[in-house]
Amino acid sequence: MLRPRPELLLTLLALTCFSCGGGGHRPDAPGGGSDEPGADTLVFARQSDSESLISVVYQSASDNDLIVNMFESLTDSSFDCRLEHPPGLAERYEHPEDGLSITYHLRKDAVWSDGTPITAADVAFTYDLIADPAVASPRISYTEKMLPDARPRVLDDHTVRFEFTQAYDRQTQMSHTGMAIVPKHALEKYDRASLRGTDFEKDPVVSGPWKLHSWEKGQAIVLTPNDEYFGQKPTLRRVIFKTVPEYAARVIELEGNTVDMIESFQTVDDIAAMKKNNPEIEMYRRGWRFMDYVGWNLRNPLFQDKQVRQALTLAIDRDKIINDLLTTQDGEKLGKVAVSWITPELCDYESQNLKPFPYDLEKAKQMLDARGWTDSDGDGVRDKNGKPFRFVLLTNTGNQRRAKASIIIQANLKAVGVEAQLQSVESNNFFERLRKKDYEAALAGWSAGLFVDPTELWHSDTPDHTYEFNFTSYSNPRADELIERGMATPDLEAVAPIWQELQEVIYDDQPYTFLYWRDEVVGLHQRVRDPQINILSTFKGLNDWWVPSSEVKFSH
Amino acid sequence: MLNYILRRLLLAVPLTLAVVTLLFVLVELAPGNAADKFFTPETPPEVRELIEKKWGLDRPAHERYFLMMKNIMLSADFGRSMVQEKPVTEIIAETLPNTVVLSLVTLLVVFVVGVLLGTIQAVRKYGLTDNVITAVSLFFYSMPEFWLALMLMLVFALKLKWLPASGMYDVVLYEYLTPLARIQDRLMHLVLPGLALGIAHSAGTARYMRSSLLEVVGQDYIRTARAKGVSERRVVFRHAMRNALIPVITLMGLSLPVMFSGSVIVESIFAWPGMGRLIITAIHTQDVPLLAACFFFFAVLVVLGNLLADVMYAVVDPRIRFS
Repeated sequence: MLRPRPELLLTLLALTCFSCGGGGHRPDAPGGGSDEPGADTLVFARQSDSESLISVVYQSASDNDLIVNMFESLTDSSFDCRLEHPPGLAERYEHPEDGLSITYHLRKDAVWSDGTPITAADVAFTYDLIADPAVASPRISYTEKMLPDARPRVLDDHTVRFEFTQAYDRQTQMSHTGMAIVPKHALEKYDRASLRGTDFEKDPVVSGPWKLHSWEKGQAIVLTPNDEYFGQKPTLRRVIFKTVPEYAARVIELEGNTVDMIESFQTVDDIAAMKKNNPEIEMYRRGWRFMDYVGWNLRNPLFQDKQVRQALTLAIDRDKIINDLLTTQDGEKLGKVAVSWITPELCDYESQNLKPFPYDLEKAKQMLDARGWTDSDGDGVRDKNGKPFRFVLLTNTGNQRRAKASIIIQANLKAVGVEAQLQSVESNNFFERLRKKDYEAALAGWSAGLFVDPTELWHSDTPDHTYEFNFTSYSNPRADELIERGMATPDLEAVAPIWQELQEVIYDDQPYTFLYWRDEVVGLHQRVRDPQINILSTFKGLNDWWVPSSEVKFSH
Repeated sequence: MLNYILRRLLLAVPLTLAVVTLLFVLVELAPGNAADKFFTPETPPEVRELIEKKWGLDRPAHERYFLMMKNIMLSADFGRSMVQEKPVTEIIAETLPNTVVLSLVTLLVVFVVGVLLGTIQAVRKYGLTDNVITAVSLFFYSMPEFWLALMLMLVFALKLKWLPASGMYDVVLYEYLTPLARIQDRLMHLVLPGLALGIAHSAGTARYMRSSLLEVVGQDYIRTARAKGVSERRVVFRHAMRNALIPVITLMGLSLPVMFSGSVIVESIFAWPGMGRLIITAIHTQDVPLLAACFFFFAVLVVLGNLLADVMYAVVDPRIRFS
């Protein structure tokens, strides 16, 4: 699951709805002790308010944060090298080897917050909404391989079976069937074409550990424990999601302890300042979630030569970018040289053969010389057949890190006689130009997906389909073959070598100069114990978060 | 007079429609549309098509334009927001009061501080006080709102802890407060954004007030008043002030639309859910119906504000008559 990341757009990782997780990156818990949990209130400051609390239509990460805590899915999810699916609403399931069906057995004690039992009818209703074109669910494709008629089969009140037209990646099948379930009895009366604006969202009937207490638009969403929840009930009294659009204001509020958590620090300097000014804030890393790269437009004659692209990568000092922009004062690195678009967090797919090209100016110069790019007129810029090696490196405005990185890249390339002119454009415009391939080179980024589907990014255009996210117009028959083979291989062990080889093929071709993976750092007040902050979500499993009663800040 | 007002209002009709038209054209010219959010590698292209169909974006631009204009002109129906799937009037009705409250505070700051400073300056013209105030007000006038707002927050919320940093109310305590304490809580939350917006504007008003008062003070009737022995205080506040306020009143009338449109920057920094933030979000998401309604509303306010300024002019200054 990848998405373009011109950072002004609200495009954080939007996962399908799961709840609960584990295996995050967590420093040693401060304090410790065997204190009893106290009924505290936690306040999280977020950039944007939620838009929808309905799992079938939501589209932003800020919606997902709430949905995972308010609505249960058939299976839960956790992440450790790969996505895993412990039981959720279903107490057990059968997923036969042939990959053609999954049968879920629902727990019989699960009820909605209004007391109505949760049954297979709710599951069927949820998938009926997803499959209905009138709803226009962003997840409609989850149902396209389901039988009959893109919907699950209800076997009895507590058993539901999903049948598939063909086997595909087992993890993906689990996720497609693991959508947060919505209450049929509370939602069916609304017009399907405008589910987002309904009254349901003002007082939703929920199945998860938290229910909506109040929602002041643009201000704050308050969640309180759902007493009807069948699993572990929260010990916190309230969690408040406060909308503070301006990053600097969020930092000030965290520093002043008027909020307990902010989701990401933008620079390493901000992290250092927070550690110094408010030692009560713990830093948590979420894992390698974001990757920045320079895409070379392969339609441009300058970049059609693989040797030339490799030379450009050799000339770009990626370690320096990481040292300058992504390393804290204590020397902690929040960046890592990238060799692929698949996050290193998915360790099954990491290829041992794949080592980053070194930073080697001499070799870069030799390679450019060998390909006929020499500075024949002595103006400091290499040329070939009278054409100078000069291009515009495009990026989006409003991203300081990319702006600084592009300056380093420009200086690096200048050292080998290649002139990059820097230009930045507004994010929507940037994205549009990438899609239309209306650029020469671009500094852009992707956020990590936890499923591997390289089709949209790397498959070459076919007569009946244009892959618009293949921004560089990359085309390699071997890569196409690997993609098609990989997508038809449901088994993790069998698919791993295919994806490893694909990454090697693409790295050798260098349609991108992969720059770095970037970790996101969350700041959270130290009194909070057992937060599960990981690559899945910042707010997963809020019912497990607790505050020792001796440290409760707001007693009710 | 009535005739004049009617004529002005009539002229406003094509103006507001032109504003909405211009807005439509600009959004059309910008790359992408409201369904862009659904354009990601993992969202299949058919989702985008379904969304476009649902929001009417699949129709050609001219068809959408005429449909929108027809609904606005014939039934005053601005339609539903694409992104929020709610009637735009409902959204504006939720947001507008927040901005109006903040604007009233701002206006109070602007008027009181601006008039006071301007008067002091005019009375002490070219003296040390005048020069210091001029320098200080120019400093604040040229300060970016962004910086000023953050500095206020740093000093009064983070360091001194006198005032809340952001929001319209205390999200933690509010539901446990008594009605009286709630009012106090809301007022406290108004101070910093009100100051941030008010300070820069009052600096401008002070400049107006100063020059206007200086001009009036040079008039013959002021000299007459002084000659007949009227106290300086009375001269300034009774005789000069009345006439000197005329341009300031115009300024207030003209700032009416600004009051309702809110400030993107200050609202964002202080997490104030007002019109400024609503519009900036609508622009980012290219939510045409919501934008059209907002801009229509602002165009009406500009017209009304101008008209109000003119009418006030006639009311406070008997020399002016419209025909």
